[in-house]
Amino acid sequence: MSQDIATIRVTRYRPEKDSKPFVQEYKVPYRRDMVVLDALNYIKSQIDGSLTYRWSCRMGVCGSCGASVDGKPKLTCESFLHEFKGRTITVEPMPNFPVIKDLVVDMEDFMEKLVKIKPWIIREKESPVEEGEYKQSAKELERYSQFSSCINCMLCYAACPIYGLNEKFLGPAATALAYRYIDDSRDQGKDVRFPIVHEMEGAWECTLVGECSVVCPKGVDPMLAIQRTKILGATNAVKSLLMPRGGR
Amino acid sequence: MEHHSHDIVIIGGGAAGLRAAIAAVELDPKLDVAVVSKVYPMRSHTVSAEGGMAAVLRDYDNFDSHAFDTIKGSDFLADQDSVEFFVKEAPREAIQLEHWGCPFSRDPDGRISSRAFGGMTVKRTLFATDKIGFHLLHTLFQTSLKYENIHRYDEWFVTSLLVDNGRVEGVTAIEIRTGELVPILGKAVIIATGGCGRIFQFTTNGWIKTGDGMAIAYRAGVPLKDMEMVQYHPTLLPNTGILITEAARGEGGYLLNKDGERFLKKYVPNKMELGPRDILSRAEMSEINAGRGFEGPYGSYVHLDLTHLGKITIEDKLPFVKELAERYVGIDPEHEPIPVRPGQHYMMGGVHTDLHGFTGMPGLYAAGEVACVTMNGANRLGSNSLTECLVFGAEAGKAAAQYASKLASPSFGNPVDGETMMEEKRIFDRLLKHEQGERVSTIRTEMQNGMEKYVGIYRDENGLREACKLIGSLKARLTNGIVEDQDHVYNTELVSALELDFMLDVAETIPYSAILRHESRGAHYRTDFTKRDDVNFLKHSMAHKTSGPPRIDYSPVTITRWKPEERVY
Amino acid sequence: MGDTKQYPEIRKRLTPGWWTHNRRYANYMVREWTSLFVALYSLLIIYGLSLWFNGSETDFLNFLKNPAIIGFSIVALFFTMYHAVTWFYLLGAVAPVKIGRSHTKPWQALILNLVLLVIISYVAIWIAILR
Repeated sequence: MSQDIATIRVTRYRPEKDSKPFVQEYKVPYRRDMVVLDALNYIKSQIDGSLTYRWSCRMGVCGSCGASVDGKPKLTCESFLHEFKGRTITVEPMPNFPVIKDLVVDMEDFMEKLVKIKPWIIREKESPVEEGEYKQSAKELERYSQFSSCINCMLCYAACPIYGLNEKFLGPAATALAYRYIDDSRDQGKDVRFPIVHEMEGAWECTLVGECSVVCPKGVDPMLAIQRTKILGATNAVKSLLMPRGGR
Repeated sequence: MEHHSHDIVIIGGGAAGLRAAIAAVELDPKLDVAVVSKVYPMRSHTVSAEGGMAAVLRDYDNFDSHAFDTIKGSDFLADQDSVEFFVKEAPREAIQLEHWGCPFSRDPDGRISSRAFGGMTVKRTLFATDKIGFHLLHTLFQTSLKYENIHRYDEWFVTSLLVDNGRVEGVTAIEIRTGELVPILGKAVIIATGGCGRIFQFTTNGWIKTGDGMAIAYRAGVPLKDMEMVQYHPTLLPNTGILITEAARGEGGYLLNKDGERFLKKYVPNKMELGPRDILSRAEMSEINAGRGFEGPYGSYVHLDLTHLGKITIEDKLPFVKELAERYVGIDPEHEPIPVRPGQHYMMGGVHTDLHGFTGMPGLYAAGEVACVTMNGANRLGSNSLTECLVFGAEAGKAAAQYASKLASPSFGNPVDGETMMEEKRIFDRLLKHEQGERVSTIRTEMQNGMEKYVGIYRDENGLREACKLIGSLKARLTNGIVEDQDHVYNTELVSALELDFMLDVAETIPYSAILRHESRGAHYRTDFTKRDDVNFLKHSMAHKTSGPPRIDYSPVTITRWKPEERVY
Repeated sequence: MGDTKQYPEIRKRLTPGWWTHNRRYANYMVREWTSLFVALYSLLIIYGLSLWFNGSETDFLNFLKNPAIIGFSIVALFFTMYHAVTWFYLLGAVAPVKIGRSHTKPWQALILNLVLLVIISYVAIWIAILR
């Protein structure tokens, strides 16, 4: 009985050997419930041990396995082979990032942006732990909880043409995370974060392409976060014009 | 030779590692702390924990209750002094985490919500829908970015401890990106690398859980304690092994066999689906072995039925469970039961430490799943582990900080230089230079299948003996293993080979410890010794590395207030 | 030993035809180009109004009746409608309204705004011309 076979075309690049990337084709046995990551693992363990990619949790929560599958930024652990037309699937590293090797891209730009937006609770005065938790209502939690679901997979940066054109753009995930803290009722750091998100290459660089929210595997909707950041920035600017002394 | 130097070097960037780093720099802001992780910290396996973290926060709860639940859950193998310490520190850690921004789910009064969980007599498991691990890890990681003196080595793979005259001086690590082996010196080292689930074929654990820290400590002379205590979680998705959280049962889910009956009434009639994990896993296997399970393309399974919980409970409290079930088994839990079966999830055993995280070797500490304090004994209660990471992570961080502030810096000199060169030889010459040999992945698969078969939920003398033999032969075969990828840059195959080397060392301790424990206690169940034997085996097994098979000796269990009694639920 | 910093940077960059790869990217580019037509139309009207200001209403009307201007106006109307539809949709995407346990969808905002547009247009035309 002939076995169902899928063809995986992977873009390879090994800096020590290759001057530029090239495509290598592998054949893997196909099962309906296989994900692209299963195929990559099969290739690495049975066919070509040098195939290099990141992965860990295989359940879409660690954010390691981002790649471009048939031209779309996806997590390989969530991309079922049966979603794709035919049995040939192309896997490339995420666009807009420097490639270290094969499917592994350089994340340092994002890591710097992560630190830049100060992703921690900023308070004028910390309550001592002995006094118990800061109270937060379900409504207050809902204001920001969607934006706290970001797994830092960076598919949004791979999808964003503005980031593709201008690496300095703060970008979807970083702005969404900044907004997550701005709108957390326990945080009092608006004044610290506003200058960062409202600088030249901050939220205002976004021209509402919206692809970031389409590719986000966790429904974070970074485009919404960026627009809300813009609205907050605009209302803040108006307020400080009308009430230059005080009136926060 | 290039080297780096810090006051404290923490291996592992998960909950325990990050918590230790923050605790150390908060105790002494002058300290310089390095966090060395083979993945970016937000990828650490803490991220996949779902259900919740236990702590006594409410008036209807008290420390003695939490402590006793934990001790009884451990089948009385837990060291009761560490449990008492744990339950008292847990509330501080929970509130501290909340102050740092963790988006806990809330009650109408604005306080943190809690849910019921296995083995807990009252609701004390604090949760954030069903992604507590994700939120906890991201909160800790993002908070750690506040401290300028926490330096991170992201994607650096630690290969060994540097030890001079019985004292820890740092680690050797490969910068994965360049392939260079570099010593990172530290006055103190904290191991927080998690468990070793990838030793088994069917596990909830991610790829990175390869027991690196356990092996590193073991090779340096620290014993691994209670390694035979391997937790099997009752509800994994078949084939993938993806975890379906205990919270699904905490919110009221039922476990059903082929006849549609809640079979747990035969095994744990009082607690039913909220019984402890070891008993539930065995119950499921008993049902399956008696022919009352379902058959599927990936083996037998039972049903986890959430259909009676209602749309709102599932959307509000178990959204991730719904997402996982829909995506990976094509089932909407609002309308159909989820297929589940037991599988490896957590290691109760690990690097021997006291309740301050100290291993006994000067300068070396450990915390989190990698450590065995032990507060989990022979079986861990769900939702205790995340709190364990925070409590003992903080404690180890503080202990290491106190130790390090008193010491002068280790000098980079002959012993470190020499050790590092030997390490380089071991890795690069041995593993990278073979032309012919066996694929590393073949050896790994055989280890995983063997461990699954012989060191599973039900164990016996013959099976354990087979396992001991198998691991021994696999270790020999690995010396002729090859790595196809000869690059220095980002060589994940080399890293996998080194991980397998670690895994085999750690895996060996499990059947060797298990074969000598002639009783059944907690998660360790022997079909040839089915009763618990407090007279002979109320003690911890300690596996020591030798040039041959591990040497097993024993250490006593600390009993403070709760005498061992019969364990029924 | 290897050090990637020595190696030339390999990065998949945007090509000039990047926006053709994806329906949404293409819609975005068309949307952005339609702003050009809205702007041009506004300029033409300002010019026409200046004719009225400096001359008479007839000058303005003659300008508008010019076949080229009529042609351009029709094209501009089409693009402006496209522009309006995409922006109504975006309005729904950036300002979802919570109703019970769920949120409004962008297409709902689109429909609502289109209906409002028709009503307001009718009222405006009625006031200006039909009364």
